[in-house]
Amino acid sequence: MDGPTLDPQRIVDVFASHEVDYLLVGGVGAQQYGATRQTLDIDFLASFQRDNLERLCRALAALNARLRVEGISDREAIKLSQGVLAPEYFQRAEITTLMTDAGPLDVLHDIPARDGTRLTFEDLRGRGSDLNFGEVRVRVAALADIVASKEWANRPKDREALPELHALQSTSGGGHAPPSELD
Amino acid sequence: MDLGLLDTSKSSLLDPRCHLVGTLIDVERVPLSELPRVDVEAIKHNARPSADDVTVLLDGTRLDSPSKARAFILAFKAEMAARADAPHSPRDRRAATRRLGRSR
Repeated sequence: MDGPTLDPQRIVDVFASHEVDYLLVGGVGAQQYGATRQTLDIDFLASFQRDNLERLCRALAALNARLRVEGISDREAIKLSQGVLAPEYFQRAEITTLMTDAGPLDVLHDIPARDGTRLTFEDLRGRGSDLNFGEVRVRVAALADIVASKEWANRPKDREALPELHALQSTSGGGHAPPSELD
Repeated sequence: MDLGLLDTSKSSLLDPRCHLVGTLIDVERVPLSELPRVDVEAIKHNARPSADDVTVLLDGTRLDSPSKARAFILAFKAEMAARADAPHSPRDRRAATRRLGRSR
């Protein structure tokens, strides 16, 4: 991957200073519950309310965010992305893969439940937790919701991560997501 | 004989390839080794290609190649520029008309 390596603390610090309303998911979200598996990028769901998207865009500008596309160099991506990362862009994007000066970052419109139903920030925020992330508090999706999204995605990297996440779930009481629908 | 079994009651298995497999099992009792190769795991989980390394728009467009990404970005910038140039409200349009009248 062309570009800086991930510095999640810097990203959450910038989001906090811009008061972005978001929910941490994916591998970095799982790490907040004790997962040890390393991940290359940070994934989060954002509130797609217009005022929050404006704050998100300002935070992304502070991080010099640019689209991350396989086959396009980071230098070209910086030039191409100028003026693109506006609320109007995010209102039409399901998944946006970005590179920033603090590493790769994905903005997601939704994540899958265990049965593939798409769940948005509004669906998931209430059952997440506010956790310490360095000096800031970060809203993190429930571990059960992170696990469910990985079970549904079922990619090799998800299958690698799941045994540890299931163990964490069993010791933490399972989180707050609906019961498993898998056999 | 080693036979394959599939639970065809599940909606996730409503895939033409699975119907073919189910029919072969039910009617012809074909040995498992002779069944068509089906990615059962992919069907079971309704899996789709890994999406988190590629930008995807809500209409399903995947910006998974440089040419697609460049084309989308150019079109988006043109759309945003057109919006910025267009008067937004009837009041804006009336003001623009007055300005135009004064400049004549």
